[in-house]
Amino acid sequence: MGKAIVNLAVAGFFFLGSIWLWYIADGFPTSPRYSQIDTDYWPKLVFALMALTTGGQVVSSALSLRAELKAWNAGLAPDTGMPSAQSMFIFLRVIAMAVLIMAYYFGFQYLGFSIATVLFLWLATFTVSFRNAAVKILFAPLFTMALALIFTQVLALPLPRGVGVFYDISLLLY
Amino acid sequence: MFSMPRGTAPTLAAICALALTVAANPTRAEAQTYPSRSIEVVHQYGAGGGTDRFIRAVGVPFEDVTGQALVPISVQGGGGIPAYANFRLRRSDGYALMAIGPDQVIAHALGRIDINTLMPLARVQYDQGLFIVRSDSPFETIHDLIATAKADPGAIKVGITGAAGFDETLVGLWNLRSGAEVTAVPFGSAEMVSNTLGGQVDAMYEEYGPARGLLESGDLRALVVFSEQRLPVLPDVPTAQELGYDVTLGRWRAFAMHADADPDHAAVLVDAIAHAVETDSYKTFEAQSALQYRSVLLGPSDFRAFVDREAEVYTAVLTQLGFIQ
Amino acid sequence: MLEPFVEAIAYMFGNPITFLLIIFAVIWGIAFGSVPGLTGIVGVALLIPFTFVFDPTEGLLLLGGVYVGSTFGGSISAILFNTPGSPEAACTALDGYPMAKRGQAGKALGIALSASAIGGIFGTVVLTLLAPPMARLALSFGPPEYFALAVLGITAISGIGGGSLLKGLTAGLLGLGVATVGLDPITGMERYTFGNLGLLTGVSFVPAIIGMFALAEVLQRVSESHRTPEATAKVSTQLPTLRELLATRITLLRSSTVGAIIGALPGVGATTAAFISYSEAVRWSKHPEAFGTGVAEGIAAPEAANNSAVGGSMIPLLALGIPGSATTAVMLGGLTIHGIIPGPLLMQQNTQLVYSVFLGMMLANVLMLLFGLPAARYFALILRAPYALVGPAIVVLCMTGVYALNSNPFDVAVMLIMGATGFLLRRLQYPVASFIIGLVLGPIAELSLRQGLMIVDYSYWAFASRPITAVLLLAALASLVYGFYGQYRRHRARRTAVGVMSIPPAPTNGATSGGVREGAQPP
Repeated sequence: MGKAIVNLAVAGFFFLGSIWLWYIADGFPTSPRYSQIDTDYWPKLVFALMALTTGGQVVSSALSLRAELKAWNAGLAPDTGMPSAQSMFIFLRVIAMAVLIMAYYFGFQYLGFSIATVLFLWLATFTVSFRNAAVKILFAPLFTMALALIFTQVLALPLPRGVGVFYDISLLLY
Repeated sequence: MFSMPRGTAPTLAAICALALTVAANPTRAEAQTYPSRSIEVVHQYGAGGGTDRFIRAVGVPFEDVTGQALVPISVQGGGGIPAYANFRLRRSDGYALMAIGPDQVIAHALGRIDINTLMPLARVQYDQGLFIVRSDSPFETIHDLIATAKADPGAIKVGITGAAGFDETLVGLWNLRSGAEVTAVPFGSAEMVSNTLGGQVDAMYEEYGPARGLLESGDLRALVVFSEQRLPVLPDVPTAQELGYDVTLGRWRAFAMHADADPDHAAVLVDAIAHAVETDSYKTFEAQSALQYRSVLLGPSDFRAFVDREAEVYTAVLTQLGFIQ
Repeated sequence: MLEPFVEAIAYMFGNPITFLLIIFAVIWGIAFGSVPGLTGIVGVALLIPFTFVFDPTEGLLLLGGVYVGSTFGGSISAILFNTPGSPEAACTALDGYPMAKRGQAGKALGIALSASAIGGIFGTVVLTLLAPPMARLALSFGPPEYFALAVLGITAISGIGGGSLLKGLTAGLLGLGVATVGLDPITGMERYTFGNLGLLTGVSFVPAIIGMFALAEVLQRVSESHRTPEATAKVSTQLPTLRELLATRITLLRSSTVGAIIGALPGVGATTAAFISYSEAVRWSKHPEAFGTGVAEGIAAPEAANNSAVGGSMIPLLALGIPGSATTAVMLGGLTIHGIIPGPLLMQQNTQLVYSVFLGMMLANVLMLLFGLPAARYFALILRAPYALVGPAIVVLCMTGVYALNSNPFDVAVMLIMGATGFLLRRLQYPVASFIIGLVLGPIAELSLRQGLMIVDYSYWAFASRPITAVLLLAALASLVYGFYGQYRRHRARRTAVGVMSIPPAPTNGATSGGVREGAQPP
C-alpha cells in the first residue's frame, strides 16, 4: 500500500507540475515574426498532453488505492511497505555517495581537477567495501595522474584548474 | 597518533613551502618573456567547426613566431553566453583570448553581454554572403525575386542558420532596405542546403565558401552578393549596393582580450597575429575557405571603430525588427 | 565499371600507410567511443590537425575509420557498465546491460559486434552503389517528413516495457518537456531558464544520457547489498551462431535499411538512427514488453542501425558536399583544409579519393570486427576489479569527459541531476527508455514541425497531406492505436487471471497477497 500511495503522490505531483509549466510557457516572451509558431507553441502542446496522461494516472492510482483500502478493511493483511533497518542503511549509503558526488562536482571547479579527483577517489572507494586498503590509497593518485596526462598531453583537452591558489598549483602540474 | 613512514614530515614541509611560494608569487610564470605558455582561445562553436579551424590555422604560424600555441576551447550553445561567461571567469593574465564575431555584437545589442568588457585585438576574417537559389528555381536573377517579393510580401522563404542571430539580422536589414520582404526560416547549416536543393524553401542565405561546391557544379545559382564589390569568381552577380540597397554586413572572425589586460601583452599579440596572417600557410587556408576577398586585417583601434559602427547598425535593425523593445 | 575500384586498390597498395592509418583509426575510434563523454566527434576533431601531413585520401580514411570504430566502442561500455560511451549506444545499454547482468555479457557483446559489422557493411555497400540516387532521395525529405519520422520514433514509447502505458507516455512527455529548456531554436527566446545562466545551453543529451545511465547505475550498485554475486565477471565475447543470426535477420535487415536512410538525411545521424530503429524493433516485435529485459533484438537493432548510418551519412557528403550527420560535418572541415571542394563534382573529379574511401570504409568495418573482439575482452578485464575502484573511477571518467566536451560546468550539473532523476524514475517504475527517446527525438520533432508549418504557410492540411509525411504519420497513428489495444488486451488477460485466483478459499487462510494487486501469486 505504501507503493500505491507513492504512485498517487508522484502522479499528482506531475499533474500539478505540468499545469504549472503550461502557465509558465504562457508567459514566455513572444517573437514578432513567428507569431503562429511562437516560443510557447510546443511547450504548451507537450505539457497539455502531459496533464492528460498524469491526470489519467492520478485517476487510475486513486482507484487502485481505493481497492487496496477496501481489501484492507475486508481484513486482509496489507503490505505496509515500511522500510526495514537494513534498507535504511543502504538508503544512507546511497545518500552518502550522492552527496560525495555533488561535493566532487563543486571541488572540481574550486580545487581544480587533480586535487578534487584524488580526494573524491579516496573518499568514494572507502564508502564501498573492499578489503585491501593499500590498493585504495594508491589507486587514487595514480589514476588521477594518468587521466590528467592523457587529457592534457595526448588529447589537449581542457581540465578545470580551480580558483585562487589552486589555479597556480594546477599550472605546476599540467 | 598513528605512525608515519620516515621521510613524510620533510616531504610534507617541502610541498607546503612550494605551495606557499607559488601562491605568494602568482606572476612567477611571467618572469620569462610573454607568452611563456600556450594561450587558450575560447569560442562558442563546436570542435572541428569553422571557428575552431580558424584558430588552429592562425595558431600554426603564430607558434612559429612566438613559440607558443593557440589552443581552441569550445564552449558551445546558449547563444554564446556560456562562452562569454567562461572567458570572463578567466584571469586577465594575457593567456586567455576570445574568438569573437557578429554574434557578440548582437548579444551586446540585446543586452545579454557587455562588449566593453572586451578589448578588440584584431579582426582577421571578413566574409560575404549571398542569396542563393537552386538551379531550376523560377528566379533567374535577383530582379525576379524582388518583383515576386514586392508583389507577395513574405511569400518567399529564405533558409538561414541560427535563431535571432547574424543571418536573421541580415535578412531583416534586406527586408527593410529593399522593401522586397522575404521570410527567414531557421535551419541547421546542412539542412538549409539540402532543403534549398530539394525545393522545400525558395532560397537560402549562405557565405560563398560553404556553398562553393554546389555553385561550381551548377546545382545552385547565386542571385546577389552582400559586399562592397562583386566577387571575382562570380562576375555576373550584382551587389546589393549596386541595386540601391545598402546591405554589406558580413560574418567576421576576430580575437579579443579582457578589457583590463596588459596593453604590452596586447601589442605583442597583435604583432604576432599580423605576422601569422601574412604567412603562406595561413593564406592557403584563407583561399581554401574562400575568405580572401575582403579579409583585411584590422588592428586594435580600427577594429574598435568597426565594432562600434557594427553595434549601431545591429541595434537599429534589431529594434526595427522588434527584438529590442 | 570496375576500373575506378582497380585504381583505388592500386593506390592503396601503393601507399601501404593507408592500411596502417585505418587500423590506427579504428582502434582510436573504439577507444574514444567507449569513454563516456568523449564521442566520435571529438575523436575525429582531434585528428584533423594530424591529417595535414597526409594527402586527402589518407586523411579522409583516417577520419572515416574513427567514425566507424567509435560507433561500436560505445557499446562495449554500454553493455558492461551500463555507461553508453557515446549517445548512439544508449539504446544498446537498454537491453545489453540486463543481458550482461544475467551472466551473458559475452553473448551481448557478440550480438553487438556482429550487428555493427553487418550494419556497417550494409551501409558501406549502399554508399558505394547507390550514393547519387540516395542523395537525391534524401533531398525530397523536408521538415514535415523529418517531423513525421520523429513522431514515428516517439510513438513507440507506447510499447516499451510491460509496465503502465500511462507511465510510459508520461515519461516520454517529460523527456520532450525537458528538451525544451534553453533557447528556442527558432525565435532565440529563453525557455524555462528562470534567469539561470547555466540553463541557457539547455539539457544536452550527451550529459543527460551519461547521467541517466552511468550515474544512476553507480547509485543503484551502491544501494544493492555488496553480497550480490558478480554475474558479469566471466566475459569472453561469443559471436552468435549462424542460426542465431538468421533468427534476427529481419531485425538486421530492417535496422540496416532504416540506419542507411536516416544517415543519408542531413542533420540526423547515428544516434537518431539507433533510437528510431530500436522503436521500430519494439513496434514490430511479438513481445514488445520484453524489451528492456535483455532481448537480442534490442541489441541488434540499434547496433546495426547506427553503424549503417555511418555509411549512410557519407552519402550526401560525397555526392552533394552536404554532411549527413554532425560527425561528417567535422569530416567536411577536414576535407576543406586539403583544398578539396566537396560538392557534386567531387565524385567525378576525384574518383580515386571517393573509391578509396568506399574500399577503406569496408576495410574499417572488417577491422572493427577483428579488433572489437579483443577490445571487448580487455574491457571485460576491468570487470574483475572490485566495484569499490571501478564505480568511483567511472564517476571520475564521466565528470572529466563531460567537462572536456564543452568546458561548461553546467553540463556536468545536468549529468548529476539526470543521474538522480534516472535513479528515481527507475525506483518509481517509470521507463527510462521512454524519457530518453523523448529527450533525444524531441528537439527534431519540435524544430521540424515549426519549420514545416512556416514552409506551408501554416496550413496543417498541406503539411500532413504531403505523400511521405502522410504515410509516416498514419503509420505512427496506427501503431499508437495498436499499442493501446495490445496493452488493453494484456491488461484484461491479467485481470481475468487475478480475478480467478484472488478469491480466497477461506478468510483465515492467510492469503498470500495483500489486497488486490496485479500479477498476484497463486495461493
